[in-house]
Amino acid sequence: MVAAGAAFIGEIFFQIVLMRSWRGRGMVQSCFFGFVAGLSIFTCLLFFQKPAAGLDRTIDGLFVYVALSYCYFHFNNLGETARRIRILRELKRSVSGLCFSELRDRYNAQMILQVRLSRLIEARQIRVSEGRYVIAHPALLWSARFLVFLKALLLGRENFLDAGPRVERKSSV
Amino acid sequence: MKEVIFSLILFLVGFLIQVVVWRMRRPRGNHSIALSMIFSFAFLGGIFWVREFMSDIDILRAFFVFVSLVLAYLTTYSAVEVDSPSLLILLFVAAAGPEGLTPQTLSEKFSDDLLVGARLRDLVKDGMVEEKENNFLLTRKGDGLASFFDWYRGFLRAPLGG
Repeated sequence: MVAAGAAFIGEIFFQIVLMRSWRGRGMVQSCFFGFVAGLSIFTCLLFFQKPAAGLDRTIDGLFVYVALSYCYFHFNNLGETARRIRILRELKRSVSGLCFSELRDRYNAQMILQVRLSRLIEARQIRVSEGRYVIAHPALLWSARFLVFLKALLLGRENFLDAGPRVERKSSV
Repeated sequence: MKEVIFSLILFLVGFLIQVVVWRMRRPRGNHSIALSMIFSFAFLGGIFWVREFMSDIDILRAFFVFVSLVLAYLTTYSAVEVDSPSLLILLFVAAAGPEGLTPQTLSEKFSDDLLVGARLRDLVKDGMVEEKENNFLLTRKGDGLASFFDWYRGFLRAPLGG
């Protein structure tokens, strides 16, 4: 567990160094290399540990490290892609708040769509073929299908749009 | 290894309890608290049954494995409640089959209300934003979170994001 903790701290350190040196670009890549660095630290610590860690403890530690890395990746992803965080930050930038149309001028569906399409194309999950979007590599698609399955299991809904409760609109949004 | 297996079993028990509770009556408000209670119950229940067969050190290790598993699940669960636009794009494109989807058709599936309005309503519901005379303002809670991410993203030299 100590090795897992130290590896996780090492991962965070490397990821931050990489992000800062890349001027904030390549969040996914920095998380990946940070993970690899952490894994190297984990391996070295196990190798030099006295008495040597058995297979049981190695697997336990590795499991904890991978799970924490997964959480850390998604924490970074919040700042990178979460709409709610962006909305909060846009509201913070405005002194007297924003009405919905003002917010829409700064952050809207077209902007969200374009950024995500660029990311998906760069990650080779989709590609453009004769002016149309088609699936390229299905890795993220399978993640999406798994979430649809979880949504159906937990929420009893099978369509892929928002499954949250439909709040009655009393606001101007 | 046995701690991983034990924790996985307890996690599955917690997950099944969640499925039953959610299908009967999904809790209102922040689900993290309800989920934490369910998984805590599952873990404590499991420990009660095996405490004679596991040493304190083994139980502690199982606890760390279990907590990391639950944290990973809580991270994933947020994507179950609120659809990610990226994953929606993939699902729509996949549903169109080998012919694919034109940019215009894809664009028509996403409106400002779906992608921005819905999230703004969530923020109001969660007490992070308040509405006053058609204007949206941060509450103290929302301001705290926005400040943290302003600082963190600035520290990483990262762009605005979203």
